[in-house]
Amino acid sequence: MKRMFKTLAPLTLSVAIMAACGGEESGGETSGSDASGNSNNNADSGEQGDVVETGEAEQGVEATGDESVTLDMWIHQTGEDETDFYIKRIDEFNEVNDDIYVNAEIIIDDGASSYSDSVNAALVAGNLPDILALDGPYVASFAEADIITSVDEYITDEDREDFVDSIIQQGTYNGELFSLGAMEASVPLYYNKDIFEEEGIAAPASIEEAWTWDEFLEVAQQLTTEDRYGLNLFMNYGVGEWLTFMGAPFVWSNNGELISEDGTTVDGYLNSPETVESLEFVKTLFEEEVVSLTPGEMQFEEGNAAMALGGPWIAVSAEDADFEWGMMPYPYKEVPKSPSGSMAYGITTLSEHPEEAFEVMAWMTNEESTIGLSEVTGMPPARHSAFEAMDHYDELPWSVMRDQVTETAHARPQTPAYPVLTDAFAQAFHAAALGEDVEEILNQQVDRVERELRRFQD
Amino acid sequence: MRAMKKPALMKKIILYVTMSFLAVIFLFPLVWMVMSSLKGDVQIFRDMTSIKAFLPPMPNEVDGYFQNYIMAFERVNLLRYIMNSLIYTIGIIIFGLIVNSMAGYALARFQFPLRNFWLAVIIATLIIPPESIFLPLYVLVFNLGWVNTYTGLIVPFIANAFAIFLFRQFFLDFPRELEEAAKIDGCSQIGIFFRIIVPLSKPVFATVAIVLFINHWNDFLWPLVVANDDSMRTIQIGLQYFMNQPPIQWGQVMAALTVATVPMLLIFIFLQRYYVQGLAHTGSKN
Amino acid sequence: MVTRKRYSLKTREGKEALTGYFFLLPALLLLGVFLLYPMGAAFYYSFTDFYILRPGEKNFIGLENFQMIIGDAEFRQALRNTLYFTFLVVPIQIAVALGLALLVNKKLKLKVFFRTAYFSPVVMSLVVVSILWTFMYNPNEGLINEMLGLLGIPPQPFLTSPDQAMNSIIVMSVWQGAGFQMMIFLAGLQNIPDHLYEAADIDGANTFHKFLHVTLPGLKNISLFIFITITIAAFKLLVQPMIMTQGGPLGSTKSLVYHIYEVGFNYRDVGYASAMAVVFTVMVLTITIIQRILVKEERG
Repeated sequence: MKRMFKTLAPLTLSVAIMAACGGEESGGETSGSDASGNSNNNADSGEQGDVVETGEAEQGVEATGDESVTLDMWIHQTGEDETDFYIKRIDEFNEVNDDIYVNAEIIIDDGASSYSDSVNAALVAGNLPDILALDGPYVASFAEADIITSVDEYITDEDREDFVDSIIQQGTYNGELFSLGAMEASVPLYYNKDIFEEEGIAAPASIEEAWTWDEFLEVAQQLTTEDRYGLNLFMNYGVGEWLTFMGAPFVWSNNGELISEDGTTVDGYLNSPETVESLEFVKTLFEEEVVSLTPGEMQFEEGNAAMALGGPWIAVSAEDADFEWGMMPYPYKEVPKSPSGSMAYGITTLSEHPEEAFEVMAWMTNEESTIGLSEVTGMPPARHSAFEAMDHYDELPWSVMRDQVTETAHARPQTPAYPVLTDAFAQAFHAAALGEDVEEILNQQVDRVERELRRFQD
Repeated sequence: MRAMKKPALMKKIILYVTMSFLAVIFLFPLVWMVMSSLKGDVQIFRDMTSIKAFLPPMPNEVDGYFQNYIMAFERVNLLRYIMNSLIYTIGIIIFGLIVNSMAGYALARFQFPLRNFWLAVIIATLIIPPESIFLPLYVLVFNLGWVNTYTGLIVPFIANAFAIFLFRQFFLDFPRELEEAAKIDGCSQIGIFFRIIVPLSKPVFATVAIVLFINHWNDFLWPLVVANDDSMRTIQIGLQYFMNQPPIQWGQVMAALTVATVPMLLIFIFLQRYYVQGLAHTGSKN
Repeated sequence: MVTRKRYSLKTREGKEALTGYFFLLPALLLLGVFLLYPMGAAFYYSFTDFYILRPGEKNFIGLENFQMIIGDAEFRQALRNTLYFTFLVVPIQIAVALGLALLVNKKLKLKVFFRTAYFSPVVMSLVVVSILWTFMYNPNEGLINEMLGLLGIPPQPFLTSPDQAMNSIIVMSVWQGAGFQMMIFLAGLQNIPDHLYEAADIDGANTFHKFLHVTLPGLKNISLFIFITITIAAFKLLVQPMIMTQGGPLGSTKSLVYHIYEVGFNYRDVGYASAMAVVFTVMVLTITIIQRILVKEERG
């Protein structure tokens, strides 16, 4: 999960190893090969040895006899424990189900584009699997292009309601549900308890007590000293998805939006007074020097920043470091909002067995999977029932994260133009951090996104 | 003569000092990588800001010097990945040396229609960003049924514009007299090329071998997408694995990087011996 | 102008042409299938609205993509950045590489050690050294500022400043790449017959004269090769800004290929990215041809 946001950050080797040899992109194929690609699809992908890693599961196949349906599935490889967990769950699925066999392939995800490049290449060659993992904000693109299929007819109302709103929001495009995920993500405001004690600052413990921007700035200034920053925004992750994921709630909590509700325009949204004001606030944080443009990798863990707006993975590294830490809710202007979104599953329109594929999707996102995944990754679960079943979410600091996921989480915009939109926002956020004219930059970025949006206007 | 000696010695000392200074400037990342591979993560970052980044850890600072290596090999089947990388890299080198040297020789020596056109085309293929042709190339290889095969990793990269161009420039410098003499002796063109030109061109063959090795040893995206079966994975994909496990274990990353870098250094050092037996020395004897 | 020749299998020219094609054919076939064909496909895409997520519908849209380039402010900025990078990197890197090659071509003890040392950044791959230099360029706790501090120079912002970022990348690129051209120069130096130096010695030439009148002419073809390939490589700048700055700050290190890459990869606009790749290739090819005209080859 962490590397998802470190996209192009210096710490990710991958990007460039890939770039060095040539990435994906410009190609594609003429119609002839589309046809052959498609028709061969199911037969081929079985033989290509894509099988991999589900180990023991193969026995399941032999036991089932010839009636069974084989489904190909692609999963991004991320953390070791996370991947092992997916494999384990798929093996279990294969054991339990006699009539469906899942053939899973684990594809390395370098956090930049190696996974999506594999998907893109397969897409163009007509070689997509039945079910695949995809990043939340990209659901809209895939749905718009008719690559993934709606699951509305398969999911029960009861099941739908157990998912937290932001996950449903993330998986919905044009009123139809296309994807489900097992985990959520959030960004609490971490703080160093030792420093807070020294400075005599009380940390808010619930959404109701969350700081407003003014309080937040004031505390950050108070906490900033000669050799310590008040805040860390992990600008070292680079100009990428992180800035949108972490930064967009500043806009939402100021009653701003990145794009119009119908998704047709960003003019008057991405450059609205509310958005400008939010980024002006970000600019102030940097001008007041309460936050560093170039923080060290472990700035917060080493006590060189008193607070940090970081992902759930910061809890893991903070726990490893030797200090007392806590979580506070994300600060707000008008309405409390917090980041949301993670990997989710989609069923391709190529699949001849969408119903069976949904069974796999449902299995991978059921209560047991959700709880198990949350336990191995430290990421918040995507279901209410999972939160209820996991005790530590009832107490601080994790209750803050639970409240954010269930109450203030806001999904990133569902638009097929998301790749351009997120870059536009990240660029503007970074420009604000550099002290540039926020309004001017936002207007430039609006032009870019508008040009991209025109592609989808028919 | 004796009077000459002193400045000569002085000169030599200056030369060595200069070269050693340069060596330090060029070697430090390698040293940093190797030294970091012996350290724990906290220490790597702590040492980063000082000269200690380039020194090995004190015995009391680590549990065991090779802890990271042991862990790295336990987590990922690095040996298997290295084998795969070697197979396909060496495959490309062997075929690549033959095919590209012949093409370079043709462009340097023979008159034939469209020669300059083909040279321009070859240079153009060098210019086009590889990213731009990734998709059509993948679809082609997919339709040939080469996904998850060594063929799919090797064949598309045998012909190499850079290597052809490099061979051509070298062969341009070859004195024609040798070939003329061989021709009079009744050698065929093929015979002349393989018996006379090739043995006298070791430096350029070594150079191209190094170039191809480095390029393909560092390949990432193509092997990832074309050979996604676990049994086909290459060393760069193995490396990627370590970069993908948050929190990233930097010591293990450095250990894996060191393991991935050493073969290239060894090849480079090994191929050095071919840098002294060029045409120059044979030529001057004749 | 090409002089018209008659190629018949019976003439000497005819036989030579046949032999020539025999030598060239394997490479030509492979290049044709695995490079020229995909290049042709990319060329075709540049006239279409090919969008990755809709591979089935590629509509021919004429020159629309090319017209878009004219109004693309990012393309213009990327072009400026790329030209700046190229014009600085090419001469500096060639000079450094030649200097290193001359040094390690001397008959010295430890020769192999020095060669390997200078070559090692090449082996380490651009990605790894880009990561390392990003740490070193850190304005707060980076090694370089620490060292500048020892010399009494105030800390520099390096990659975080729009004015310094590209220069910082240039310094790193020269350092990383010079060893590669050194190796090629070195192979070229082996090709200069010893007797030329011996003859120069007899004429009483000093080191500088020998360099000017023996070494440089002997390296002419290989220098042309290095000049051309280094220019092409410089134009293809991608990895360094991608890893170190993501094209920033404020687009000051966004290169042409990076822009092409982003449009094609992240924004999935294969049609437009292909059009830019076509323009890029034609542009660099033109420069290459001019280089070849300026530096005339010699034939042995």
